[in-house]
Amino acid sequence: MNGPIQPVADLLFFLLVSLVSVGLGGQLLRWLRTEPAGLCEAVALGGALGLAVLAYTVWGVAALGFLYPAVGWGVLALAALVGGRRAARVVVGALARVHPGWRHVRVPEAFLWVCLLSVLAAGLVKSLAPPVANDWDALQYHLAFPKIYVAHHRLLQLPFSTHSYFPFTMEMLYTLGLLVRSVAAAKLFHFLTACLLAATMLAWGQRLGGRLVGLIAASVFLSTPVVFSELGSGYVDLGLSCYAVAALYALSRWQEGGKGRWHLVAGVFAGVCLGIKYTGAVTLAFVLFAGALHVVRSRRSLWTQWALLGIVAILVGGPWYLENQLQTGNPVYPFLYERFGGVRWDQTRADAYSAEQHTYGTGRGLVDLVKLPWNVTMWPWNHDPSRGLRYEVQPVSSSTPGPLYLALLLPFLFLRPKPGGVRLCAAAAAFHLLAWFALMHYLRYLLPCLAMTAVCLGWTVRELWLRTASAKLGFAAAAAVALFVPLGGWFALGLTGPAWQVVSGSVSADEYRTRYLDTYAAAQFANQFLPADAKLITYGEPRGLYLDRDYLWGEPDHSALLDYSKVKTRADLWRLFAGRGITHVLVNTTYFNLNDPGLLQTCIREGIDSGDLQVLYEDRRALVLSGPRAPD
Amino acid sequence: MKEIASRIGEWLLVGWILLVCGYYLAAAFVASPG
Repeated sequence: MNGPIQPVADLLFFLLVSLVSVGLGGQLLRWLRTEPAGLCEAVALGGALGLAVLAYTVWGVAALGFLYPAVGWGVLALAALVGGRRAARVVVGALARVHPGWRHVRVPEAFLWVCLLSVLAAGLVKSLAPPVANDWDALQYHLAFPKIYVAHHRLLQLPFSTHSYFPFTMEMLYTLGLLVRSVAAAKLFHFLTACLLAATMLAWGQRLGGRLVGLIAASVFLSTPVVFSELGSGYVDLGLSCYAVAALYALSRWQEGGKGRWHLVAGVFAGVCLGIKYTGAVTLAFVLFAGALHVVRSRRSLWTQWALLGIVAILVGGPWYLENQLQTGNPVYPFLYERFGGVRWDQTRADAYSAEQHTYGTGRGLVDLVKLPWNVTMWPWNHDPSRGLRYEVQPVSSSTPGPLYLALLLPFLFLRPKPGGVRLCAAAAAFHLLAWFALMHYLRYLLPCLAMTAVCLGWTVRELWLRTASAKLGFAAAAAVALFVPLGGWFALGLTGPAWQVVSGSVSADEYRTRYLDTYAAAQFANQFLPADAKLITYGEPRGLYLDRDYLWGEPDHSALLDYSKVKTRADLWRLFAGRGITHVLVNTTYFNLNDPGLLQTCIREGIDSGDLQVLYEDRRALVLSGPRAPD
Repeated sequence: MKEIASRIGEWLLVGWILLVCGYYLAAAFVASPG
């Protein structure tokens, strides 16, 4: 985990997993009697379905306690056995098409291909690099908890973090990557979902007017700074976006009334959304709503198919919520505490969590809603702490969604007639935006909405460029895309510089992690010098990926696992630590300042002064403390 | 009359694209540390 990286081997693993997923999913689609219409559709939907099956298989393996590398390879071998022939057919089909096809590519398409492939190449380099400070949530739980599962060869509850109860479909793929290879292999699963999303956009674009539609959609979306900052990370939002757009695409195929059981495919993908993130419920709600509307309008009786769609989605996504209900008493733990309750949580913590989430964005009034598109588009240039206007933790240029979505929204509204698929995508984007507005104004959570909007945007630009009589409008729209897509790509390449240094070998992985992760050196110290059975409690530092010792996050706001209400003195705290078998303390002083007046800070500060806690390691940002001595 | 309205609408949409993209670039330029 903390050793040197092997980018070539990771890349080969990525190619293997991509082929296996596409083949497995393709074979399953065949068994569902739902034949993809072309190469892009076969890759996009087959790959997404194959990955979902792999994720759920790993979940089952982990639940049974068989998380061993040989079992992981066995799962992949079985998947290859099922889908190998199908994968080979897709590869042969791709080679047969690419060779004669590239000669007929026109200049705008070639330009967009270059932009798209450049951004994907940059994302690939980022994926191959070790995660560092800008991969906060991956270090905290997306990758850190799968690492713990792998170390224990099974799923286990991690009650020190409420995040460990989130739906973990993507994390099961990361578990597979960690089990058989490396952190980079795990991150590459996230990168793969971005590639599959681009393929879905290309497939959908083909049905909405031509290759240009999908190419514009994919290149605009992936070159959007807030999207690119996720590409190559160990987060899950691109996975959610991939399955959300795939669910909509399958729904549109069902609405078109073609051959195949597209309602079941839509149900599976909507269920996977539910299994990736709680906000995936928004996609499922929309798919059910739009599906019901279609049934009402349709002359055929499709209620049975609609019900099957819903049942399949619940069967796929529901088990995560059932597991939560059984383990914590709350299916959406720790949210909706006032409705469902839940262990190791209380109303005070729930209120504090909710208040913290409301520090992002604006209020929820009508005026705020009207201003929303402008405010979000201009973020972070309009960052204003006095107004509380922030959509991310920090106002960094990689947070921006760019101007294209808003700039092309108005022309889109006036273009007519819109095909059914475009109307569906636009309605879904609006629905997701409203849900985002009602729930939490965090820019990263807007990715599924941006992906859906990008499809509409691709169609808009193509229509304005090729079909409307207005040359000026077509030129303005195309010029905006031609300016901002390469600008986004250039920005993406700039962000990739440090990652390239480590992937190319000019900087060692250890040096890279030390340089870009403030507490990596402290974690390395703990791994090298603390006893193998040491157990750390961390303060101000939830990111445990690089810790090879047992640890728990001690922050009182995030779990009631440790009952700090009984702590009045240092001795009480040491007793609490002893009760949990804690032998060492790790403090990130940036986020847990020992000079602050809180009781915990005072106890630890006085513990150091009195000699109860011994400073074993200290740098500018972190402390590793031994002890405390056993209380009297 | 309809054609005049259409032309005005067309220019308004072009203006909107220019406004959003131009404002964004200007804001980014002003905010950039360089």
